[in-house]
Amino acid sequence: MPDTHKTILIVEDEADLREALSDMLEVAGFRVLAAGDGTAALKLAFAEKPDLILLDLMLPFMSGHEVLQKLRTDEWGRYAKVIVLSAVEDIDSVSEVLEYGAHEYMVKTDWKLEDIVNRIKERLGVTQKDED
Amino acid sequence: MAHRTGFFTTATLVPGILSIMLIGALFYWWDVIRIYDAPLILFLLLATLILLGGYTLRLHMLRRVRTVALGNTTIDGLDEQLYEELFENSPVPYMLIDGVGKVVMPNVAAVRIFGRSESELRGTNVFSLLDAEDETHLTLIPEKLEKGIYVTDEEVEIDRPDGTCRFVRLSAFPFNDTKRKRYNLITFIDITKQKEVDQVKTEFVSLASHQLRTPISSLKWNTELLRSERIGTLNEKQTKYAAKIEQAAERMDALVADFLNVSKLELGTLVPNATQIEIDTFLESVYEEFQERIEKNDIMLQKEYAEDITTIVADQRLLRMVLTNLISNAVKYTPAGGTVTVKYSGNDDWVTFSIADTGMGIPAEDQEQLFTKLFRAHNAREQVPEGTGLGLYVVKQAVEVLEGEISFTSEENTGTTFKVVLPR
Repeated sequence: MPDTHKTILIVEDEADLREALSDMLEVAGFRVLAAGDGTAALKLAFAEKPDLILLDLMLPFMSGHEVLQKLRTDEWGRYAKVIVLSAVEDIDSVSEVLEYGAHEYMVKTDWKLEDIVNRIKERLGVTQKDED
Repeated sequence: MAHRTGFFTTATLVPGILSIMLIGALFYWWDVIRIYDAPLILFLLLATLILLGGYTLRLHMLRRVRTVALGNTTIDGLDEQLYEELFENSPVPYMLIDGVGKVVMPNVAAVRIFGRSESELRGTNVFSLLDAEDETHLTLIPEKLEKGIYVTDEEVEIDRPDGTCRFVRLSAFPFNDTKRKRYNLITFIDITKQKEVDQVKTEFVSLASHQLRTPISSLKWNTELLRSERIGTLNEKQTKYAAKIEQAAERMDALVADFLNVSKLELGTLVPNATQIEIDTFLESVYEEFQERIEKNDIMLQKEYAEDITTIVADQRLLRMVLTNLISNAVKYTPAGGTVTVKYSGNDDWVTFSIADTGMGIPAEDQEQLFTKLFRAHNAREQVPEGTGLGLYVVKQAVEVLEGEISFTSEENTGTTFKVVLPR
């Protein structure tokens, strides 16, 4: 199994989706952390400082918008890489999260797992060479 | 009543004319005519007559208004009482405010909607009790009133002391009293219920969208994992079944997207938000969705863009609904090796998009019903079974919200061209 030496935090409340993402990313050589709600996500992010956060928006306890907002007030969190992965494409949501500095907004149903992994690799500058 | 009005007219006119004639005769008798010009006196007489006539006519009209209002009875001073009753007891909240916005007199309904007593309201600046989503909206209202401009149907919120708020449509009519002091009559139409219903509708669409799409994502991703060589290899039959699940999930996804678009348009929860759009870039992002299909079917995508027009001001979501559906159809119904041509042109006021394909075409007998909800042309139904019959219905509705027009020409087995004209 290739090792990218990069850690990804998956924030997703649907266990099925969380597991699928996690499996695919592990196969691609990432170290994977996972959280099922906003509060746990923020805690894990500050403790582990992952290289990239894959963030859902509709979450229990604390929404993805709020997680992103709180993250941006932190010294480390201000520059943390974030890709928003949401079930819905809502223009207001898109502009709001991009305003808070999310790097990308992806609608779940529009993307294959493979595409998502490729986007993450691109964002982190992981090339095929690093994997081998 | 009619004979009274007649009597009134006669009672004013006859003595008026008689006295003027008498003055004229006296002037003549006293030889005044030798000092003044005869035509001047005649002119003065005529002017007095016209004035008297006008005054009588006005009285006559006022009487008529009262006749209509009162039927066969006359009660002196009822005009004032009627207005007072109307103001005080109307179910519509009314307020009389002075030139700077201070409440002079609220009616019963206004006291109720503001949740404050009449004495609390009197003397308070009404605008300090209001709120609006867009603050500048609120400052514009007093500015308009100061200039004597009517304000109609401005959506504002009333902040009540108990912490709740009421959504209202405010209208205000400025006028001056006899001493030229400025007053404004303000009305507030309560639309709180309507707002709540709109909110519920929006939440429903958003929730439905989320709830329906989450299992679709799960289906798609888990099937992808199942088929992924990295995880293990399926045998031929297993691969075939997994592919079928994937196709069904895709179809479901398209259906949900169409259904949600129809809901948004029909529930009216989609409030257009116009922004400036770079047409070129926008179209590229639309093509991206069909790239796989275009390549797989070896379809030639031809682009013919006007050079002098680069932008359009429109709602992005609606424009995407229109162009995505039309281009999707063109790609879907064009056989391998065919051509899809996307053109746009226009002037200062309009942009015309044209999407042409070399596909199966729409049979003449089906053309009339093409934009009907759930309708699919019979050749499309036979040759491309997946399809919801919602796409063109969505397009038509979205074009209407965008205040544009859509038309098409088509010939079976030759191709179809859709033309959409939108305001720039």
